[in-house]
Parts: sequence; structure tokens; C-alpha cells
Amino acid sequence: MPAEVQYEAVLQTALTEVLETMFFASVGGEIPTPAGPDALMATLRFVGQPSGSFSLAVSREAAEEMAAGFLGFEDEVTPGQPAEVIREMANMVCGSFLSKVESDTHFELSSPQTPAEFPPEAWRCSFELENGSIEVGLTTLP
Amino acid sequence: MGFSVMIVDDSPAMRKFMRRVVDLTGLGECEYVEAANGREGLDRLRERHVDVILTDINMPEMNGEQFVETLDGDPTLRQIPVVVVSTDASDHRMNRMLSLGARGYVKKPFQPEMLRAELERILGVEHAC
Repeated sequence: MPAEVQYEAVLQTALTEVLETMFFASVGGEIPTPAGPDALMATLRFVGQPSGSFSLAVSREAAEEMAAGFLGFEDEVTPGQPAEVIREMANMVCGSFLSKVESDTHFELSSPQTPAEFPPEAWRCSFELENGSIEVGLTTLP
Repeated sequence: MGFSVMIVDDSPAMRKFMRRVVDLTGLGECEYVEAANGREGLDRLRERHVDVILTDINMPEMNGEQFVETLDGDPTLRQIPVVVVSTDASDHRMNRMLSLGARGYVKKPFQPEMLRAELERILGVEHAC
């Protein structure tokens, strides 16, 4: 069983907290399916206790809807903005997760990037969203 | 009459979100100055005065710690109150930023009311609607 499994509950808590507070989106139960081939992705590295990488993939429709909400419904979302919003989402979810794992440990987070594919080595789990799904991936270094 | 607010964050999406949140705080019609990192923030501050600075910590070129420390070392700029808005929720980081001169700290994710309360406290505004 991968070491990352111990973090599943904390990850779900962090994800729920960020999506509900900043994106006004409800996170449903865990589902077996990944976010899909057209999902918008983001990945970043973190250094601390533990160190590793964190990734996020959001199904496209859900990502575009959350981006519109985050930036302001009255604005038309330009093509690059949903990806940028998902990168910021990854930053916040990862930060919230790390704060819960080790509340007084200092972490450094890299700037989130948009990867070409979801890191294949990452332990991952997916959750249902109202208009799609969100997949989180975690790799921790020994 | 609102305030002049500087927002320093390397994420354009977060800067836009922050503008929306400040607009919703009831502080009046605010003007915004944006910067993608501390270095840009300092450049902007040489061009115009702002009433309050909202800054992230993790930024390229000049991060939030370096930015706040530089502001505090300048006799003119240190008068401008700084509120840190960051994903880092550790007491260590918060205490560090406050010791460097920040006057407030808001942890992401945050409810808009949290940022409003911090701005009200720091700007001395009572009961903004």
C-alpha cells in the first residue's frame, strides 16, 4: 500500500475546504474514474516534511464553470484563464493539505505548472463534482 | 471614497479574485495597483502611493518575505500597512511575516468576510457594509 494512502482523508478535507470556500463548489464522494482526457491539469512540487509533488486534474466543464465563478460571472473567461485558475487551485489545495499534515512545519511550494499528462507515478484519487470530477495526485519522497 | 490597494501575487487569477473580494468588502470604490512579485511591487510604489498592500509570499524574483522586509526598511514605505494573503497557514510563517513588518495575515482559503475584517482593522474603517 503506497505511503500516500495515509493522507487521503486529509487531502479530501483540504480539497473540500478550498473548493467550497474559494470556488463555491461542492465536493462529492470518491469515484473510481479519473478526470478524463480533456481535463485541465496542474502540478507543483513541495519541499518540507514530507517533500514531494502534488497534481490536480479537473474535468473541463467543471473547470470552466469554476473559473468563471472565481474570476467573476460577469466576465467572459478567455481561453487561457481556466488553466490559470486550476493552477491557483492546485496551489491552494496543496498548501491547505500541507498545513494540515504538519501544522508547524515550514514548506516551500514551487509555482504550479500545467503538465502534458498526469504524473503516472502519483498515487491518485478522484471525487465527484456537480459538473464533472476532480482528481488529485500525490507523490511523497522517502 | 475608497482606498488605493496594491495586490502583489504571481497569479493573475488570484489578483483578479482579490480585486473582486475587496470590491465586495464595502470599503468604497477602490483603485487597484497590481504586481506579479515584490520587485514589481517596489517599482509600482515608486510611481504612486497606495493605502494598503495585499501580498502573497511564494513569488518569483522577489518573494513576499523579501518584499515586506524591504518595505519595512524604507522610512516612507514602511508607513503603508501590509496584509499577507498566503496558503502557508503555519504559525512559524505568520509570526515571521509579522516580525518583518506585516500588520495582518489572512490564510488561503478564506471567506471574504475574513479579508474584510482584516482590512477594516488595519485601515481603521468601522462597519463597512
